[in-house]
Amino acid sequence: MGKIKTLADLKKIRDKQVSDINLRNKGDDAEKLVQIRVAMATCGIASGAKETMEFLIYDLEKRGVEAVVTQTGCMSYCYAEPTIEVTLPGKEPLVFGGVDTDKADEIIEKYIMGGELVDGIIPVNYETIDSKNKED
Amino acid sequence: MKEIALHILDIAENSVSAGAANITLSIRVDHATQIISVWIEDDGIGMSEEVKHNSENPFYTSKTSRKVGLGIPLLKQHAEMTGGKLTIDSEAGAGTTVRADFVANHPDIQPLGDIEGCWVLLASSYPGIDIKLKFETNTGEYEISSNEVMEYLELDSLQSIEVMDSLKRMIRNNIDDLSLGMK
Repeated sequence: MGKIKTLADLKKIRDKQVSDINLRNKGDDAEKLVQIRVAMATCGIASGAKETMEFLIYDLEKRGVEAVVTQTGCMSYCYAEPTIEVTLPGKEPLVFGGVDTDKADEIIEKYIMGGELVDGIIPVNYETIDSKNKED
Repeated sequence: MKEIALHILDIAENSVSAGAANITLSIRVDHATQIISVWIEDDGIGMSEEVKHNSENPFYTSKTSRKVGLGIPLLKQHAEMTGGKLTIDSEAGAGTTVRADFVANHPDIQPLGDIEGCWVLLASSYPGIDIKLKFETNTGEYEISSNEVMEYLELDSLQSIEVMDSLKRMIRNNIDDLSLGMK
């Protein structure tokens, strides 16, 4: 394979691929996908959020999980960076703190693929018995 | 922050929050003067004179969720540590340009780092914003725009391993060629 230097080189390589990757417009059916937001403010970036985000994009695709990984600003858990918010289809979002690549791997395997809770959840949107009773 | 590229990513996030439709990340490595200049230019909401002045203060932030704002102060510190400087050009409603000059042969300078990775991450996260990257040395320049890439490859999103990896390789090859030509 030659050296890629222009977009034309890049396109040539892409066109050669028999099984074209499935890049649909992910915005259309975002609710059916796993949605992950990575906090990418100064605190996050300084703690390694870039590596975490790259790992999430690569690992989710390798494992065949349909997901959209986006960025967000500071979620004000600067002490727990890198922080990510994971929303599984039809579920409440969960915020995880201290997500380095090892933790991200665990979250993908256990929570996203296995539906099992893992350590490191930051209780952001919990309901108390009182608040739940008021709603009822 | 361990790399200049991470500072660029960080300041570019501010441009995204400022509602920019166009963000240009420029890096100029001047071999003759040994100055590395980095600018992040956007057409977002800009800053009033007061906010602009305060933005260099680590204990100032426009957010209410916390009491510090370290992005610009850290970049300023790193630029000044090498004998360089930080300049901010901004007006309310007229976008912002943050520029940092580093002295390249100073021992405290950080490596430029993963510039291509930062651009690819921004370009794949914000398909609605045209994110440009310009790299310039004494021997020439290289420029790439996320909108042009998406149009050329007929994609709505760049978020796939294959596309991101080949874009990174392409940018790295061009940056390396420009940097090699300088020696």
